[in-house]
Amino acid sequence: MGLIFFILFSATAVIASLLAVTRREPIYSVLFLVLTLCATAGLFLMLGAYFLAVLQVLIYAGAVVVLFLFVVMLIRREDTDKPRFPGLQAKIVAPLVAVLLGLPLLFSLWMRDGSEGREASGTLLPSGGETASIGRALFSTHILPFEVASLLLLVAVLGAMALARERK
Amino acid sequence: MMTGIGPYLVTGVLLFTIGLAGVLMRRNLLIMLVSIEVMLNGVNLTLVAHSRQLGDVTGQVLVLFAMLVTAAEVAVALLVCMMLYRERGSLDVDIFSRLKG
Repeated sequence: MGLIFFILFSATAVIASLLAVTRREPIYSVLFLVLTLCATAGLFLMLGAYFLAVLQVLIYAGAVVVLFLFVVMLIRREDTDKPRFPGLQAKIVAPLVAVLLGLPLLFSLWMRDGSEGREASGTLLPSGGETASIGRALFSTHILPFEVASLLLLVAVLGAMALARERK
Repeated sequence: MMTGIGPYLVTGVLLFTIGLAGVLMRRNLLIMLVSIEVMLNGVNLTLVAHSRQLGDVTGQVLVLFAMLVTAAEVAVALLVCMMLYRERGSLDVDIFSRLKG
């Protein structure tokens, strides 16, 4: 049962992200991004990270994507999205570079899997993904980064307002 | 039930690689930002998988911060997108290679 759901979510995430990256129209790109994010939220659920799964849907698929959609709405459609480099280079070189970077990453992660860590058997630990345990960690060990993050959001908001006003 | 987190890591790496290919391949600034989101998503998945494997909640806290930073980043990046679009009438990154001042 878990395997079926994993394959479902994982395949959805990978295929939707492929489509998001390759569609010509930004609107399709953004909508496939939503699908990718929701499928990843499903994977988070399967990993027991319930709080993060909810946040993923709320923050990413909700807020961030709405921002993207606003921008898509405000710009004119352009048909000029040609490959960045002339000829076949963009179609071949860019994916090749990405794969060449991805393969060692895959290899190292695969080698590392199960070799360290407290459990190698596969029966996963009681998750620790509940809101309570994350909140406890957030407000005790990680309280300083938490405050800095709130400052960062404030700066982003003020910066965005300052940039937007400067135009007029 | 599956054993281990290997499949999750593979999915994360696939997402990261796809996003990287998108950033390298596309010229539309907006779609490049979407690709960056896909990359971040792959990294987040890897972090959550490792957090689960180690039974340590720190990885999930890190993902939480990554989400917050992403939200801030996207807000500013899209605003800059809009300003560049108003300036140049296009989101083609090649045009922006001639930015000055």
